[in-house]
Amino acid sequence: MGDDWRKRKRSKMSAIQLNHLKFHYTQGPLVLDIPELKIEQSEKVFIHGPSGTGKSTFLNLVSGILSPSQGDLLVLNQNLANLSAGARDQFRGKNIGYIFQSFNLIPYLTIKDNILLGQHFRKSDFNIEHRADQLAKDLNISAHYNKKATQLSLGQQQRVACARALIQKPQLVIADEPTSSLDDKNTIEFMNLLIKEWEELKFTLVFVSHDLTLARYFDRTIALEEINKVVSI
Amino acid sequence: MISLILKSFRHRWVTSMVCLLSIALSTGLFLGIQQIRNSARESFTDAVSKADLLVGARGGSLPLLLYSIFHLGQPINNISYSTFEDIEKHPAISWAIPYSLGDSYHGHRVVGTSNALFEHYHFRGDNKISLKAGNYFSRPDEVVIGSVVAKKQKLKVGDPIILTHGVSSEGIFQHDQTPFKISGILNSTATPLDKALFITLQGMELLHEGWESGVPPEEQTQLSEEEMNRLRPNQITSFLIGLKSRMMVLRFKGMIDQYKNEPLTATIPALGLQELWNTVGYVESALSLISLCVLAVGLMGIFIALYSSLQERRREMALFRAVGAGTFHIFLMLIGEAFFLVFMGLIFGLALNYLALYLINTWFIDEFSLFLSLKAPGTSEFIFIGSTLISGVLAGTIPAIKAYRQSLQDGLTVQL
Repeated sequence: MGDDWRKRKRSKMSAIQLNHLKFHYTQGPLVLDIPELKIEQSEKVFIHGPSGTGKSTFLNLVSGILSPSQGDLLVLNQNLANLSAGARDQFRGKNIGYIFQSFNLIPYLTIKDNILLGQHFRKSDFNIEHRADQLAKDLNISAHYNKKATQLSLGQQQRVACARALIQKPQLVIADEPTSSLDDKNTIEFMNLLIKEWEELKFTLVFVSHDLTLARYFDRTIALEEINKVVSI
Repeated sequence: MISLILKSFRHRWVTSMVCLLSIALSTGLFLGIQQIRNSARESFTDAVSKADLLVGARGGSLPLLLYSIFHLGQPINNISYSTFEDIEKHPAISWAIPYSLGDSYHGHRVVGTSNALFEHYHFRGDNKISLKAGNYFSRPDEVVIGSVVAKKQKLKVGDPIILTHGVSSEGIFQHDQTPFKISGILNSTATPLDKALFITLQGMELLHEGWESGVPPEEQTQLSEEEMNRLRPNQITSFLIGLKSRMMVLRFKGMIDQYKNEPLTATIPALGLQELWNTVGYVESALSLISLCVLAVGLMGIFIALYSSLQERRREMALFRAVGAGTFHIFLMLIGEAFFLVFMGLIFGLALNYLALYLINTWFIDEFSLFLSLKAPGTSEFIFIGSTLISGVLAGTIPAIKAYRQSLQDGLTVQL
């Protein structure tokens, strides 16, 4: 009986859950209409879609920058529509790690300060510096720890971005085409490190890319143009 | 977040420094002008106190005041000594100090006067002249010198000095046939007295003994002490009087203005100083206006620097937002940067102001007989500082609002 309850509860605990989600900008046309999408906790999901399929909007919604116009959006079992803008910002800072395609680092800060950038906006954590050291070691960037961001190669910069996204041990990591500016060698290195970190922390990974050859690293592939009804019409 | 603002400031240091410096410059200029004005006013009004009337030959009261009290400019007409003696005898008069001007020593004015100066001259309220070394003059060929003169010319009690005819520093005729001996050195008063030398009225006559033709006598005239004491002054330039009762001032002034034997002018020093002050006021307003313009340029600079950096900051903003910053944080960061710029500008400006005042102090004493007192900022300075800070924050508001809107629109996905 207890086991059964736990199982049910667990199956309900999804990382991202969309129900009849619709979004349009103020007085603009509908950009997103997703009847259903469910991403389980610790799942690695590969999302692809040509430009104009609502990718930016989707990512801004999931990370709590935007709020749905209609329908439900649950991230880590939290209905973001119920939270104020400020609370969504805090929620993002605490639970979501975000990796950009490029310009992941503040150029005038050191690597260490970049990894710890989020500390300026959230409650301080005594162990965070130690963890930053550890992550820098794991991601082969500790040699550059006190250098300025601009002194690093693109491959190194993306690894710093990865460290910054993972510093809070987030439950959800969103990577928005993180490898599109890297060459093959750096792409493979980045993917291997990311997957290695996933194996350790088991966060939910939402990875957006045009490069379909990367899909092999993931549990599931989602084509955004197939689930967004605005595009398919 | 403050450390983040500081680092962002360092990153954009060229434009930031330009803004900061123009704020600093205008602050320094504005406060400097205020301080010079206040010190100058004090210096002017403190130069003589407790004196009721200043009397000289008929003419403007302002020049009378300038050459008698501040040793600036030259008297055109003298008055006869008998007039002085006549008025001095009046029962309403408590004391009178004669002034006889026209000679100099290395650019310092020589004032022929009497012991009444040391006894009755007041400045800055209750202060009186006092000796630092030696004695007041007791012989016609003795001279008492001000503290600045002693220091600049490296003179000490007992030194012989040769005075110069005329008041320019390169006078043609030297009174070298009548050397004077320094009998005393005065304590510093921070008034024009410090820059002057004082001899007796007889001494003034002694200087010009045999000068009836206006040029030095060809033959050396050595006078015995007895002969010296027999010298009677003919003329003086002006005199300062204190009355037994303040109530008498206006009536006495009227009396002097209508003095029968000779055309005279009497002025109330305090009123004359006020009049003098009003004429200087225009320069001061012009300078204040200029410094406000510089301030406006500085504030506009902050506005432009922040506004034009917004585009290049869009990705930074997205980054900040990704790690949990809200749009309000973005707004605050820009306001914070503007505040920091103005704040540092003000600090530098204050430092600049005091440094400059300190440096020009001696020059001001020499050139204008103005003694600048370095004072802590007062109410008007704090009003300036406060309103500059507020304007700085206001200058940062529009860029901050734009950044806020921009980050609201961009979210995490910046489309450039």
